[in-house]
Amino acid sequence: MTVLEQRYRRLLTLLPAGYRNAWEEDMVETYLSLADDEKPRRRVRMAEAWAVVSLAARLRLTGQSDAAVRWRQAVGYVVLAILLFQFVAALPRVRWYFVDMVWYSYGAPLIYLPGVLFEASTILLCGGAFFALLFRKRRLALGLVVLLAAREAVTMFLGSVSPAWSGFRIPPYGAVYLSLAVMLAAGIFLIYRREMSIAGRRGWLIAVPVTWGAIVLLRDPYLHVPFANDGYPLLDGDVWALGAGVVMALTLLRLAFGKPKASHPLLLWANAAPVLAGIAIAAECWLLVTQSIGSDWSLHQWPFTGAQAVILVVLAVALRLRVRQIRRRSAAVS
Amino acid sequence: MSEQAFFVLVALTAGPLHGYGIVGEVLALSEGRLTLRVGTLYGVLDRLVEEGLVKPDGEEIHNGRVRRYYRMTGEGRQALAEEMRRQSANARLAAGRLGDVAFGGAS
Repeated sequence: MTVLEQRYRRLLTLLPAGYRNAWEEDMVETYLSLADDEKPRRRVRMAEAWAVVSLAARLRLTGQSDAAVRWRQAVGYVVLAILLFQFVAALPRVRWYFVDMVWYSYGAPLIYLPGVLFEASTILLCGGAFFALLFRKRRLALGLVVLLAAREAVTMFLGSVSPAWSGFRIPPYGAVYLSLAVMLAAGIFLIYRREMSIAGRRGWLIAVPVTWGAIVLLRDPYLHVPFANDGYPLLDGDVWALGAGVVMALTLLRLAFGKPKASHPLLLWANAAPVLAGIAIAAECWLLVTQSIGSDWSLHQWPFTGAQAVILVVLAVALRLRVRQIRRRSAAVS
Repeated sequence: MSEQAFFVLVALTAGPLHGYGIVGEVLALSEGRLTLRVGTLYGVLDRLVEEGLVKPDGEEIHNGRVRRYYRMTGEGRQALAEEMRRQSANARLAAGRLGDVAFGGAS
């Protein structure tokens, strides 16, 4: 087997197993026949790699196979988790302004107003989309997320042209917000198109007060949680990565013991958590590259982000192997 | 029907072809405009086979590797004819609006 053939076969491992069984040999033959017409090479062309990546994503997300349905549900979970976190994280600041400042202090300091309005719109848009998705109002959810993306674009533009408008922005989270908004729109559109229902509505509703409690606890100044007390760092990629890591570790622990079936609800998180972790690391890298390149913070942050990425990849691979084992065993039993 | 699927079906009208042959035929038919990547081709073939418009038609050994041929089914011919009629009607409509006689529309 030549190096090129090996590389093509490795690339094709991105495709779902069932599809690969049906098409791999023929695809490799076509790749190598086309390569015979060209100058000898050892590398896969970027355009070819991209076509396979697109095909793999399409097959996993829009197909009717069990695996495709599982991936769509995982996307649904990712979308819900992001919406939930964004809107709950915005609640304490709005509460602080209207309850502590306006109600108890009988004053409304205008200097804080833009930021508070920004957070209030986050609650309305993300919270609205979260509940709309849970209660199957997908058009409404999509509309709210599109508004969220529009708000990001407008406030980023205003902040860049005049410092007077910068109160709306919380640098450097704008870029992350924009990416999240676009990603959410894509996820909701996908779910909307496929008429998929979200499983475990009650669990998601319970998660609202639980997440709120966790955020209030993390932000408590007496606890001195290092990354949670200053400004808005709960929106940070580090926290996302930590959250995804904890979910993966707990899922792995739960699946490691006993003999769970392939239909176990936690298996959905085995797909969703690595996607969340990937978004967190990608958002963090984007911030490091675009907004703080060369700064001291960036220099210190790179090794930290790298270590996070390694831990998350190890967890994701371990989870994947365990899930595969469970599915294989379930298939053998049935 | 996507443009790629349309061209794959057109390529198969002349007879069974393997993946490599389809890529070359589509490139020639589209006068170099449409280069089918292998990932894209097999995504299209998978869908066409699933819809019953194309089916595998034997294999041969080439350079020690298995080459699979594909041929268009009767339903594939029907679907292509339907698509052709739809595109012709669209083209006539546009030509009529443009007043371009070259497209066979009213001037």
